[in-house]
Amino acid sequence: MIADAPHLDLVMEPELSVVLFRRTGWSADRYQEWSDAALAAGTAFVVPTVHDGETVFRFCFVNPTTTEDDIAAIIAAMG
Amino acid sequence: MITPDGLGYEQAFALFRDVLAPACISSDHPRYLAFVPTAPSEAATLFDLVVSASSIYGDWWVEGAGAIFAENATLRWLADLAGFPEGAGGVFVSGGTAGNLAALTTARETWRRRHGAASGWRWLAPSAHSSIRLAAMVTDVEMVTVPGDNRGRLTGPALRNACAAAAADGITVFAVVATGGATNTGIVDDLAGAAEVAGEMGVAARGRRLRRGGDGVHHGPPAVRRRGARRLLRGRPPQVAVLAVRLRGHRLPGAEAGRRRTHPARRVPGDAGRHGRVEPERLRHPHDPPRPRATAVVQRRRPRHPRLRPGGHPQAGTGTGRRG
Repeated sequence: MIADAPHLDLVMEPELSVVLFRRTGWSADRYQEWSDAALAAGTAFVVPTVHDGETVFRFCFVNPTTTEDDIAAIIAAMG
Repeated sequence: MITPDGLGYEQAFALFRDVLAPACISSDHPRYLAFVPTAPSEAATLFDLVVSASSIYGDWWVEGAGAIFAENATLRWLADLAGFPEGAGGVFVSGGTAGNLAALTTARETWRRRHGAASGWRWLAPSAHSSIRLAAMVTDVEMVTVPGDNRGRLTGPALRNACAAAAADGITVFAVVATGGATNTGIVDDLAGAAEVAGEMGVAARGRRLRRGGDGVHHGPPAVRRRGARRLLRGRPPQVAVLAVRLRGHRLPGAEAGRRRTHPARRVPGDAGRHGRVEPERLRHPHDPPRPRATAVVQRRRPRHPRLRPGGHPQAGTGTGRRG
């Protein structure tokens, strides 16, 4: 899904349930702003992290009730 | 907020509902993807309530035989999923910090018993979780970080170089910390390669041996159950001594740090008979509720001191637990 999103790049192929990806064109502050706004709105809790010195987004999948529709909605909101 | 007479149920609950809870984020929301939180099933949440209300804890066998039995059975199940041998053992703790500290302290203590004291303890931790650094500080040992490959993984050759450098310095290496899932990336180290090097060092001329611990932040069962994870974790050799799996989805009673039950390295999941000689039926409080089903196996034994259980067998009564 991330590979299909024109505004996102996969940082590395995931091995377990953590997925790192970048939102092209965004600064570190922009990542944080998006994260804060999404949490305030109650739509998602996704936070940026730093990998090899670069700010990227990180999905941690743990909850078995998370659906592809959930992820699609979050990805669309990052557009 | 804390008053001599207490707030009372309604006000206390209102405080939670209106002030405290809104200042927290429920970690079981399907769009909570920020960290590696809990995601308990409804059954697990409900059973947490049952266990809490039962006021039992798994500190030691006399009081917590049923809970410990269930814990051991669960550990055995996890060990089987990971392909660990019969002798594998473990203990559930509150999280990675307690787990890593327990595993690494066990590794050092085992070294000490086999080889005597040594100076300059050193761990080798490549993509170490912050709790490894904390454990190093607590136990006053030096930690060396091994450079990772292009994906940040610990590899056998890099570890071999680091071990050789440590040996040249006359430093005793007693543990290699490899990860079964790095916190930030989910990357799994080259566990087979790391174990191979550890084995090589174990027969080195200086007679130094390496203990191996594992640091897996990604929830034991979900991670281990995945085929890919199982394949990766199966790279570990049968000599692995300490299983430090962090389990969060469901807490077992007594799963807090600092329990004084049994040394983790000496515990053998599935072999409950080693952990106690006192039958649990003998020490039932008269107001005890019925035991959870997980203890059913040990309930078959006949109580030797029925006077401690004046209410009769709990399952023969109304099932409400409290009597009189």
